[in-house]
Amino acid sequence: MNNKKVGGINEWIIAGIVLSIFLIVIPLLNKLPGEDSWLRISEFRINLLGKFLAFAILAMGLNLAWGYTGILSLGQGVYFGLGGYCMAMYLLLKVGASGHYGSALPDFMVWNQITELPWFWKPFNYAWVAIPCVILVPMALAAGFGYLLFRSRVRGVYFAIVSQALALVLAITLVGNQPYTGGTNGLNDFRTIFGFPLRGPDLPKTEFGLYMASVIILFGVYLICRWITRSKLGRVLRAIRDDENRVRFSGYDVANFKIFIFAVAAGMAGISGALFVPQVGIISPSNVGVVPSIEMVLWVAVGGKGTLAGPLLGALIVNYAKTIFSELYPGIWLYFLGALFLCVVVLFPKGAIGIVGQIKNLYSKKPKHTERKKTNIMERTKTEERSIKEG
Amino acid sequence: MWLFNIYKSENNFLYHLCMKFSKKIAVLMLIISALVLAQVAFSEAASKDNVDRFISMLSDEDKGVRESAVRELGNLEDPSVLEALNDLWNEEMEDEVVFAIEIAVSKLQLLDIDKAVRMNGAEGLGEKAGTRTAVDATVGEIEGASLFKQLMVDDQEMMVIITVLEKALAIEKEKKVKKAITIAIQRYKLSDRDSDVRKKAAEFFGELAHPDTVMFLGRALESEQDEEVSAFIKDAVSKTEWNDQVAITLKQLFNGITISSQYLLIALGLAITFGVMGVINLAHGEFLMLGCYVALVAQGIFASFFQPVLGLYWALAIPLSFIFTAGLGYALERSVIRFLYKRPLDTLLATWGVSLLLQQAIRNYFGANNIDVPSPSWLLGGVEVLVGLYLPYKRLYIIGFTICVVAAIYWLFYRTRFGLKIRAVMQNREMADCLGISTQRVNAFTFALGSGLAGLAGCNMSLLSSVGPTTGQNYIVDCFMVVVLGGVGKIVGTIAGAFGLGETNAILEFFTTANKGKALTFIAVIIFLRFRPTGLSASKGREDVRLETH
Repeated sequence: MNNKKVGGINEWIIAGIVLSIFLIVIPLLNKLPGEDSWLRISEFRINLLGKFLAFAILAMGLNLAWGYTGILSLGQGVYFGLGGYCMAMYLLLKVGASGHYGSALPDFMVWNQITELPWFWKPFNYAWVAIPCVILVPMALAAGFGYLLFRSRVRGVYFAIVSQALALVLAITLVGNQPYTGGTNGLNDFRTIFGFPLRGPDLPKTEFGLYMASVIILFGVYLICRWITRSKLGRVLRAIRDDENRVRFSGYDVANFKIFIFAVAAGMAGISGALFVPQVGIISPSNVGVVPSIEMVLWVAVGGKGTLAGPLLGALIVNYAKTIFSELYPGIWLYFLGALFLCVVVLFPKGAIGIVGQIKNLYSKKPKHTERKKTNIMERTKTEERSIKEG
Repeated sequence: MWLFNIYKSENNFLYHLCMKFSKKIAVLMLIISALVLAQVAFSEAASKDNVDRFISMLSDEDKGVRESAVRELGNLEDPSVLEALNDLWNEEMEDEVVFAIEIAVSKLQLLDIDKAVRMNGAEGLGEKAGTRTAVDATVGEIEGASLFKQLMVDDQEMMVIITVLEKALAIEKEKKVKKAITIAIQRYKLSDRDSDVRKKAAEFFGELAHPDTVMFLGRALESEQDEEVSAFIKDAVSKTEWNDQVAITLKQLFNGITISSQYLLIALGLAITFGVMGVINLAHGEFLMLGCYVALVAQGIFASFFQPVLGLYWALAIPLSFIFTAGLGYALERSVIRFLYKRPLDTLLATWGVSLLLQQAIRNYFGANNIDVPSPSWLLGGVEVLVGLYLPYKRLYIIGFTICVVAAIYWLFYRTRFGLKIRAVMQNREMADCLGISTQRVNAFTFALGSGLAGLAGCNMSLLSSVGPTTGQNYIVDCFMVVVLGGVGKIVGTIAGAFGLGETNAILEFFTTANKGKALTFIAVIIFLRFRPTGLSASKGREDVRLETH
């Protein structure tokens, strides 16, 4: 959990092992003979894992904002959704005239009696526009939103609530403009991605490719996060988290740092959404609203905020738990989710990664850290008193 | 008396005759009166026979026979045939017969004891006058539009209906029903053959200018041939439309006030807990939802045990919802939140977990579907303050209730010792602690108070809409925005925030759609925060301390 201690060669070994498990061991297990062998990982599970890894990308970004800088965004679904919708618009336009109605327009537009492609759909005909948009649109919105709020020093709980309202705004906007956004149904029924089929017998191959892409992009995002947190920038961010005013008094422009990191987090959420769409085959307002946005925060909290690997772990744990529970006991999932929120926050504030350390602390002699701090203050006041008497 | 007078003064011969045969005459009169009585009895029996005959005709195969039977039944002034007519109404397929039934039923409803039913009858008959003008218009354009022709009230029928209505008007005592009947009569007169009668009716509608008649007047205008009358109708239409606009605008504002007061009641609790403890309770919406369900349970208890005084269940629901949610809030504060005061963001997540638990518990116990809580009968209905502006008692009650609660909170905060302590903790927790105020207790009670207010709001919410496990979630983001917009630390801020948000929402909704209105409102709040980050009631100085993360 403690980056400084693990550092050096050890950390690279761990990262290498994890990466080779995702890139080599799991694909190999998939190739094992025997459909029902317990060791074999089915295509379905690989697809699922790919989806979770896409979520982990978002969680890593959110962790940069929340875990390292102290900006809790309850509206990360907004940026996830924007990235996802950008990708989905591109994929839908690639369907072209082979849709149900044989029109060049997406099917839902035909239902809604739209005759011409809306202007904001037009650029998404081209992959070279759509792919950058996946990252840039969320970043631009986050920067604008951040500019409005961070500049006027809205922070903490205030910021969390306002960001949540933004998630609601996006969700109701998407639902309300059905002719242009697909409404509640969202965008779905894609055919191909970059020439690879998204339906039919060859789907598992495409999904495998997407899974591999998710792993590699995730690793890239991990490297970026590592670089950011290890740099001087990362130190400033942590300082902002711990005492914003002190950083400001030291001459740093806190708002700019916050806007920057929030935009980076949003860009990662956008990538996550873009990877989510082809793997799941649909994006709808129910993926971007208030409730999914808060679940995203839970991924980080469960894994351990403020650690590099925590978000990955959290995203995997929570989503696997969700899959298992909804398959086995559909009614219990929400109880479990609620209890998870409570337990993690109250009992394990450092998340899954912190549990080891917490247990260690229980059995080893308790470090007298807090007490020492108190005595320090006491001593200081005593010395102050003395100096006052003397002076 | 007059009998004898006549005999005395004017006809001496007859007088003598009478005196002479007085005994015989008495006998004769007895016989005559007996005959008359018999005649009456016989005719009553005959009309009873008629009823039976007409009712049996209702099941005739020929629609013409059925139609005429219905007409006859309608004119009999015998409410007992309503049942038979209603039965037929449910089964009848032919438009003409249905039309006749509707007229007959409305006529009979005019004789009912219940004023609401009489009102219905008058309105129903008035509606049918609308078809008359519509028919005139269509018949003129399309040759042989037979269906429309048959579906129209013909001249003879119109005379009958007007007589019935006038008769009803003469004996009517209720003001509202009287008005409805007058309107119905005037509607018929507007399609009279005589242009002078039409002109007078148009004038009447011009003076009335009731928004409900806009459509009808429009149709009448289309079919009107006489230019002079059309001018009158046009005048009436423009007056009515103006009134309509005014009524709609005022209604929108009034609805905005209702929603604002709901926001206020919910957000007040949030703002108090946030102001005192710096934590936002994401389960606040679920307390609201629980308040709704408390009302439901209270209603259920009264419905099964105290049926005769069902309307009084509200007197149980109000205190119960407060006590229940306040108790739950107290428990939540003691068990979870007090460990998280140093970590306000974590409180957000923990309370979200609680909200999920509560939602799922309600879903398991009451089911996932929305349930309607029957409102107490004394809150049904409303008052018409302007032409076409109808204010339901429920909404007026909600506004009044909110005013009372806000007044009570004011009193609590600024006139009691407990309020003093709360304000002290709000301003400077450490200093308050040093001065011997038990901040822990203040925290717990404030949290309970805030939760209780949410419960009260929930109880009221059950008057406005149906209740479901996600009711709380639908309102909570709005109420957070109220807190953000209003700023923390002063009740005035929350009031301003609630009405600012509620009215902005209502106005934007009026010009766009419900969805767009809400989205635009939130965006407006976000932009507003750029300029007043601490909200409407910015208190200077210590604000920063309270907004600190951790």
